[in-house]
Amino acid sequence: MNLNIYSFISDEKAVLEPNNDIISTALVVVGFVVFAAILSKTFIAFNNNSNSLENYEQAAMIAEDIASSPSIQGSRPELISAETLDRICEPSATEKRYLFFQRFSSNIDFYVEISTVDGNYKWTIDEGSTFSNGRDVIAASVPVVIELGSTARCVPGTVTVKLIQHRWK
Amino acid sequence: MKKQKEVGIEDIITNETAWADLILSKTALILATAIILTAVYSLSGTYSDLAKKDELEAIAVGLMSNINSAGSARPGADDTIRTYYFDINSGKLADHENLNVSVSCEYVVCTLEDRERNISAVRPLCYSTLPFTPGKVRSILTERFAASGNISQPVNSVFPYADVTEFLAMKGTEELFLNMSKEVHIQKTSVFVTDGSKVNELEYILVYQ
Repeated sequence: MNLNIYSFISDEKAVLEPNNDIISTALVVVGFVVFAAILSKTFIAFNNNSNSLENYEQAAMIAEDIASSPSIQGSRPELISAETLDRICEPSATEKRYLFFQRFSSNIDFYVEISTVDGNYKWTIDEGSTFSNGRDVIAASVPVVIELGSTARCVPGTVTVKLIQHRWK
Repeated sequence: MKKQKEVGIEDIITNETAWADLILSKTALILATAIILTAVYSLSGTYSDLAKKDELEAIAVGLMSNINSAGSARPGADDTIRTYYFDINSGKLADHENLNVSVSCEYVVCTLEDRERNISAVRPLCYSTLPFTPGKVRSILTERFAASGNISQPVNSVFPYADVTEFLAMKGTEELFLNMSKEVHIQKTSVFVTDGSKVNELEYILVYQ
């Protein structure tokens, strides 16, 4: 049997002919399903992105706020005092930490990490109840200047706010 | 009398008129068309809902970001009352009679009652917020603790100040429904607490009209 183009044109057995409509409907259905899948996927991706962007903006705003917070300010408004950070991070200073976090609404979970760029010093401020256990964390950092000790030795550092996502999101 | 024709298994197999085939394929075609039309219709319906939800979210985010930026403002320079106007000219929904915008101590909620269904957009607030006027805060504190919480009249409470914070949080869960054609005032305030030896400051943001 030779399968050249002529055999297709002159083939008059019409095996598929009676079910033409089913084949074309199946094609339309498949096309529509693919279209709907792409549409919903795009929407889900967009929604996720805008959600994370919004959360990031929130974290960035909190980070800026904390970087300029008077409660950890050093001898000048643009400096962060390492001594104050040490005092806030002491295990017994729960009241200081409470007052540090009181301004923020209780329905957002976050903790703050402040470190020097050279990595020699690192402080973590949390209320003891923030565990990420498997939840998504969104972090934002701002650069700050940290005043070490009383000799007014200043080193560059960063304030990082880690916002823990609610599980139901 | 006409003799009844016997129908055997042989006849069904060898019958080539294919009427069952035709009916089945046409039924399938009609069903498939109906399903596709329903799907297209519901997709376009979902799209108009999404557009409404987007607008509700824009309203909620606008108010939320203003409350948050009032919260992150440093005291001193920015210690004035902020005024926020809803942008009622940009969207289609802003003057809708079934649109409700409310603020409680934790959330900004924007709800549209649309044909017996509610579409809503909710945004959590970053800062401790109370939907009260400054006078109301002082009066409910005076009523409960016999002290207004001013710097001159701090509330007596010991760490962790649960009686004050929980009382205010409980009062603040009542939603304040906002009139979108009027301005919203956003103000930072402090409630001072003392445990006898030192005075501490609890910061709140007040949202009122």
